[in-house]
Amino acid sequence: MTFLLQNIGVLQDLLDLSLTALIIVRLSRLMKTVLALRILAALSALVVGHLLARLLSLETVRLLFDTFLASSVVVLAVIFQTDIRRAFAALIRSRAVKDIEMSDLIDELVFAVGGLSEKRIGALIVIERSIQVDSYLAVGTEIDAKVTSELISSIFLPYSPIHDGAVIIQHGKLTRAGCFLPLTQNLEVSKSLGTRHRAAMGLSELVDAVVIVVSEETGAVSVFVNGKRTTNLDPPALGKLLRRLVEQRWLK
Amino acid sequence: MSEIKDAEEVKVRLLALLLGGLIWLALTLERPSEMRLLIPMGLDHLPSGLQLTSTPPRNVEVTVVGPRILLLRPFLMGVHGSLDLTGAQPGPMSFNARECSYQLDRELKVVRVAPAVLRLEFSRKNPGASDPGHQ
Repeated sequence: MTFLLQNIGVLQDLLDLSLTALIIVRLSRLMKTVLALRILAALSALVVGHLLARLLSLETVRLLFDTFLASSVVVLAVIFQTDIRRAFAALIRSRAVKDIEMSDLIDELVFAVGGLSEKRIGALIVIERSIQVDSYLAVGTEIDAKVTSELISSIFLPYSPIHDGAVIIQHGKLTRAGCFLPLTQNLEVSKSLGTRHRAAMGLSELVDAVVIVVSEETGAVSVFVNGKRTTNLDPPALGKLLRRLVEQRWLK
Repeated sequence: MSEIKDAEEVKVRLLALLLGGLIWLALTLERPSEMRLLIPMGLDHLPSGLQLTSTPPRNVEVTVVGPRILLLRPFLMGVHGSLDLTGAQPGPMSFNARECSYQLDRELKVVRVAPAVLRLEFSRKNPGASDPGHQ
């Protein structure tokens, strides 16, 4: 106890240093590695510059360094607003145990996707889970209908005016069609992926939605979740995967 | 590809730790502290016609308080003090050591000087003696 009281200052410093380092390590994880390296190096250089200017009593240089450091928080928030939004979205993602209960909706979806895949008709279907997708959607036509395989198939038929976008399923209902989704900013994505797949990946990076894609070229069915792609799914595999990913409570 | 990515992630962690350490250091070095410095003394502006007959102290011990980062400067760059003798008169004189100039940063405050008083004795130069510097 006496030792603790005598060294409380040292312990406070250690705690202070550890927490500072932890917060910066955590924040740096929100950014892409290359960017994080550059930003951390630039910020470290600014702090070293501040220390040298202070040590050498270079007041004007110190003022410049301090101004850059103070504004860096706002500047970084503006530059990395997408990454920050993505990080907050990831933070609030539910980690609850998955509900594997059967649902008619999934059967309808599997049937529709199977049909579209056979006919090589491109499709993009978003199933909202715990995070709302509305703020990430552009344009689109409001529908608000029961999910049926016939409706989904007819929306994606090439002559349909709303075939060239995504169908959105929220709370077990087909709420919108013809929606444009944000494209992925991931530079590591294969160039062979088309716009439909890039849109699916982009949305799944931002929210926890399940996005189903039917390739127009190959008819292959892919599912995107959390920016990751599961591809070449046949109808039984798609049904199994959807039942694992989509809980009953998100369809109510 | 994965190894390169892992190496970059290690670099990010190390840089994040470095930045955390630097921020902590910057804040810690702003905390006030006290330090004793042994400062060599010099005498300035001795009036013409006067000479010093006593031995001035070579060093004074100055206790200063201020931000830690500024207390590093005297160690790194050295510091010296000077006593302004303008107005000195023949005979013994006392000077308050805290009024000497120590060329310290404005944010550093001198709280103690030992010796606190500098006692010096002056006498008139012999009018007949020539200035050795002109020979």
